[in-house]
Amino acid sequence: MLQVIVQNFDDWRGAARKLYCAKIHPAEVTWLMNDQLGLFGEQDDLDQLPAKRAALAISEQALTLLQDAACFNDDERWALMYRFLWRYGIEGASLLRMSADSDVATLMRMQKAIHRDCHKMKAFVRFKKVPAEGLGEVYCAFFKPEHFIVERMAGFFKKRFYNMHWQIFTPKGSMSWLNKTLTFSEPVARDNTNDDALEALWLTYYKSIFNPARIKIKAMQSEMPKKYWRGLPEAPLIKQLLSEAGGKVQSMYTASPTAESESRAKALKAAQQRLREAAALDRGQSQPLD
Amino acid sequence: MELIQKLAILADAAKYDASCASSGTQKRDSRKGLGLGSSGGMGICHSYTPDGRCISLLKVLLTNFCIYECSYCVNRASSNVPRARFSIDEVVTLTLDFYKRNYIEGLFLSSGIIQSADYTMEQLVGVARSLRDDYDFRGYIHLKTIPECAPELLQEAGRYADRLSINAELPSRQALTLLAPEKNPATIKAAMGHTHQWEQESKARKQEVGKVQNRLTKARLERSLKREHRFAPAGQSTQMIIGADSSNDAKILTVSNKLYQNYAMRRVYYSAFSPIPSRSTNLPLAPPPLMREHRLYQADWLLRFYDFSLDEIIAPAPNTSQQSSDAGMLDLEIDPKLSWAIRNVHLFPMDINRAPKEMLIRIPGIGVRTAQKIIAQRSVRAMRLEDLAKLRVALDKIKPFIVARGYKPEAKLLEAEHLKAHFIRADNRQLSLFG
Repeated sequence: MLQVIVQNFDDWRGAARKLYCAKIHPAEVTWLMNDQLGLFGEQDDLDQLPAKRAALAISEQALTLLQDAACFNDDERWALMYRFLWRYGIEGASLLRMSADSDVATLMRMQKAIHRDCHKMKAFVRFKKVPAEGLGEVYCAFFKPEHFIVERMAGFFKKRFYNMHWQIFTPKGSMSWLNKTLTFSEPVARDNTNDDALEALWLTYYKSIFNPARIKIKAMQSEMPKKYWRGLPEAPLIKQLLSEAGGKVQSMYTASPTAESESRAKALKAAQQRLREAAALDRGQSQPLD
Repeated sequence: MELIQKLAILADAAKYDASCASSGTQKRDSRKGLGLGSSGGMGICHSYTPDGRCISLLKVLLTNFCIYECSYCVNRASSNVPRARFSIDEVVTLTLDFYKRNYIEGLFLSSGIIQSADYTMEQLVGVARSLRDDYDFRGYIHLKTIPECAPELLQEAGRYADRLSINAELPSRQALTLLAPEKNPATIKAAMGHTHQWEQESKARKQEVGKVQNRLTKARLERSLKREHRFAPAGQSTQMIIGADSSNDAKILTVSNKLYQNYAMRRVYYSAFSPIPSRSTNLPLAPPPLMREHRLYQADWLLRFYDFSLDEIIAPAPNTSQQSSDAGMLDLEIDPKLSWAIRNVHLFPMDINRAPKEMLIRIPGIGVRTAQKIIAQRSVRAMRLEDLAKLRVALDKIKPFIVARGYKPEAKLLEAEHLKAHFIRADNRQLSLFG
């Protein structure tokens, strides 16, 4: 049994190439992360393996699938990825069409989860404005992604907030964009960002845009699962909004309808007529429209 | 009035517009610029409210003062809701401040009609112009346009906005006359027509530049194209209010179908008329079930992406003894695709290892993505029922309708009366999840 230690996709790719060329079967490899090293001993020196065949060329689609799976938060992924590679060598590109195959289905599910996690990070990162010496202001956020996606998300935030200074801290690595320079840094376990006075406006907006006459809690939660709520300043309002909704709707029904005041309606009609005539003249179309 | 109070009033006044989409516009970002923002591709929903709706844009009215008297609208002249008005700068600053904190993708701005249609429209355009020209804002802008305004203003709006919308409001002319006396079907259509024409022209210009071979000429043309701004690259959308008048679903879908065909609408939104504070006596007291709105969206989807025709979606009443109120209405108990399958049970079971794509997507429980996967998979080896489970297809739903390797449905399952009962039970379980 060979022991291989990997940290990221590039490590895995280098190791997988050597293993594949040396015809080492997936069942003969144990894949470990750095922090498991002490428990299991040394990494085997893959450079000593004799190359028995040429490296495998895989399609763009297969490469993307593996790159995505490499971000997935599960230590089993490295072994699965190597098994896929091994089988690709035998079954060829048609392997990718086998969405009903367990290995392929799992990889595709991982890929989908990564896409979703990335999408949710774009959505749910919340910046807070912090004054900073020399920079004017820095926008700081704390976010908890499910998977290892911080590096691949850098491009999105950079392009969108190119002319701002910003930092995003996460338990899976942090990044900053200061003076138009991107830097990756250590993970941060807890939210230490300050309050931002502007949040009061956001909360007011959230409360006001909610329609108490239509409640669809499951629809909300399927798109905004509770695991993200801790990072969202508006989430604590949800309970209150729901408890008040029934009463608000009831009062709309019981309140007597507004009678249209006659004088007001008349004034309105006249103003409207003027408006129509003016508009029709402007466009030289005076024929009746109906 | 404090800004925060204005925001409370003017967001409250905007919530009856269902649209909050930010997808499908041109790709932009703030590199090579002085400003803020990016757009293009999939829309992003930054939050969800407990009504299940997403918050993608800052959706507000510039003002809810209004001289119009549309019965269904909370902002109509005779309504006694509190009124407020933002200045152009206030909306601009609010949009930028929200955007910088990653709360939103951009702005959806609408307005009550003050002074005149042209005056109001000028104000709306003023906000978009300031965002783009003064702040180099590259996020998403959706402007609700006022059909009665001068065409030049509409054209200018399209130069700054990603999307324009003009609300059809109600599915029938009679209803519009009765409930929105200041609105006029011909004016609404004319505005939609203009928007469509300018959108097409702008698209055509872009395509022409794309065809130019000479690199230098192409670069020059591209620069000049960039300066003139694409006209509403995310097209136009519209909204109809459901349940405020007596139009049935067949009528509503006929109107949508025309709107998609004639004006290349990106979306028709259906908004179940919702109880509002300070309601009008012209309206029914009870709103329609939200399920009706949901079924209309499903039917709309089938029309646009599944190649269903209107006749297939809304069955003609089978016999005269049927209650007339059901005629022309979608089934509330089961979704329209399932309903079609049950009416056309003679087409089933379908062999998933042989059926062409256009038939696969007609099987209840199989969407476009799943159909693609099935076609890829079966080219390698024939599929069994268990394989479908791996694709995360709901087996319960499709079992009566398919044949797979080693699987045939029981004949009894395909008897029409059993079939519907079977699904109403299954569907009710699902409904309770969303209840």
